[in-house]
Amino acid sequence: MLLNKKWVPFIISLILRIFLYGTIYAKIAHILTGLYYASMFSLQSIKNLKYKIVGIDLLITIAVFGALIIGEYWEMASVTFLYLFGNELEKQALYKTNERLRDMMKLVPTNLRLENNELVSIEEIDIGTKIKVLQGEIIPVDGLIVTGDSTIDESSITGESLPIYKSINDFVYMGTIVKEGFIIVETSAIEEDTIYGQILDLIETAQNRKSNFQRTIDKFSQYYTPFVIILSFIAFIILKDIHIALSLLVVSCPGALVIAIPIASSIALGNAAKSNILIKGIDVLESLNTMQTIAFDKTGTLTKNELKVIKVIAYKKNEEEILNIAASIESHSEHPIANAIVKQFQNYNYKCENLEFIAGKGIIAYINDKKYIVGQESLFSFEVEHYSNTTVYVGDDNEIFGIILLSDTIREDAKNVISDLSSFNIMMLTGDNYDSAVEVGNYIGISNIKSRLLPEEKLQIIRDSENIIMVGDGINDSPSLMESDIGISMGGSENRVAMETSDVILMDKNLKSIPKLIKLAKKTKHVMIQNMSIAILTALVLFAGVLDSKINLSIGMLVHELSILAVIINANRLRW
Amino acid sequence: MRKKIRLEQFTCPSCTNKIEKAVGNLKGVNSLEVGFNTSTVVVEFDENIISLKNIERVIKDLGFVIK
Repeated sequence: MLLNKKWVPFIISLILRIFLYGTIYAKIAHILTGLYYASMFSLQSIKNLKYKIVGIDLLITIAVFGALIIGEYWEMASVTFLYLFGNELEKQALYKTNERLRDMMKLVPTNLRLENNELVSIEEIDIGTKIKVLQGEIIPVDGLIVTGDSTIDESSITGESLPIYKSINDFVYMGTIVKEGFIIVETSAIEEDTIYGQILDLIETAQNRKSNFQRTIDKFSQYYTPFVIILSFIAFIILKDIHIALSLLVVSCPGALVIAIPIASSIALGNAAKSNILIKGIDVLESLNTMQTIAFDKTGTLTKNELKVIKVIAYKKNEEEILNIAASIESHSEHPIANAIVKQFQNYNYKCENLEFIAGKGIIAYINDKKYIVGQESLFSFEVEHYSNTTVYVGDDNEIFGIILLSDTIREDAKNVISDLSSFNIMMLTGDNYDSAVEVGNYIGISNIKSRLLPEEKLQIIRDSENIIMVGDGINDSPSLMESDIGISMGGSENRVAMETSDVILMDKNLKSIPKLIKLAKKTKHVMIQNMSIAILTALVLFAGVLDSKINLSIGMLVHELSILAVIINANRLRW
Repeated sequence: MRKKIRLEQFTCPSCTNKIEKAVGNLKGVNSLEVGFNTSTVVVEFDENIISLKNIERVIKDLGFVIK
């Protein structure tokens, strides 16, 4: 709390300084205030010497007691106050930057309910333990549903806002929410081994991953502090100026410099996570700025990998009749093509008998004692018309009644996203045939298309290109994602392979996140440069000012704390 | 054994140096990662030589609060 009782002594001290300047009352108040604040960190800093640690708190302790000896009582009070008050402000500002992570932690349960309704803590259960989850509760483990069914909100894992229905033998994830009814889950993973635990771990690890630049700064600051301390000794011994010596101690910790980069990366990554973009580390954001080419996989990336009926060609009977026959028969199959047809014509109403499934080709069935063949052209003994699309023929032994053409659905945002990324070389890499690749490419504006690629050919193209981003689904494309400079996976946060092989995971499969990500990378770079400038400038000014006797203890402290706050506030511009 | 210890919000980056130095020098601690942004300490140690309790005691001794 900024409005804290502990600031009262300083306020009293300040009032006395204004109204009773130079009196013994004021001096005593300053000394007591200084000692009171020093008691909050000085003892600890001396204790830490047993671990051979010289922290900034120890340096300030020396400065404070030095000030006491040379009679600078007001300096004592103000330096200690500024140090603690600054720390408090920084703590609050830093606390805010990790909001997202804390929100996510809230979904990690500590208590759970056994089958017999007994409440136990998470430590007491094991793999195989059956636990009960009621309506509105967060599922506390990964596992299989063994009893019950429910719609489940999985947005914490997949970013998908619509709840999905799950029942016996379906897998459920920790951190997802049971919307209605109750389920009993047989535990297959707990805590850090769950998918959700891994997502959390990825975000946390990313936050702490350091770039090369940061390592250089860390090294520099390790030498900077001892250097200034030695300088302070020299000032004391050779210049015989104890004021300069003590002031140097106070400004010897390059606070803003050390915090300039990590604070920016923490906010940038946290912010991305809030938009369902998981980034493996700040180094990924940094290298995004040097990328020139983006390669997109087609199926499942630019398209939804969902087939849709786009046209019905009726030779005999009408379109509706063709769809009714096809849907009635296909409703007995689980094939994606069958699902797409049934979805298109949900009012199918023919009763089918004597169904015969011909694997990978189609179905033969009888409706009102009449034979129908629904499926690929190879099911028919006579010549049929050929189309480049995915095609389902409806006919019998002698003729075709109609043809249903299907096509994959292109993601709504694909066209806009590709035009937003016009500063990059864009290409499409697909294993699919040329016709369907060009159809998608023409629609969304990609002309550089490589089709009918085998997985290893895809990999070779990635290897041959410099500074390339690969966008693909995390499972089939994982080799290319790994081989590219930056691999972006569409979804796959529920999949361990995708999590391991890609640098960025778009949890909600939103293509719009890509331009967003590029923008964030640029802005982060700018903020980091600004922060570094603030930090270096402050260090120079403080250093020169102290040596020139223009800056005393408390001003030095004030500028030092202000510069730290300045880089934190500047980094907060990375929120969107 | 690998363990993650969560601490109260760090206030200055030198906090991480303190823990790195004090805990890093303990016998039995194989690797150590102090995350400034997340206020966490990930420590890998040989439980035959040192216990988690002892590691936590050192961290507390440095003036940090364990969550």
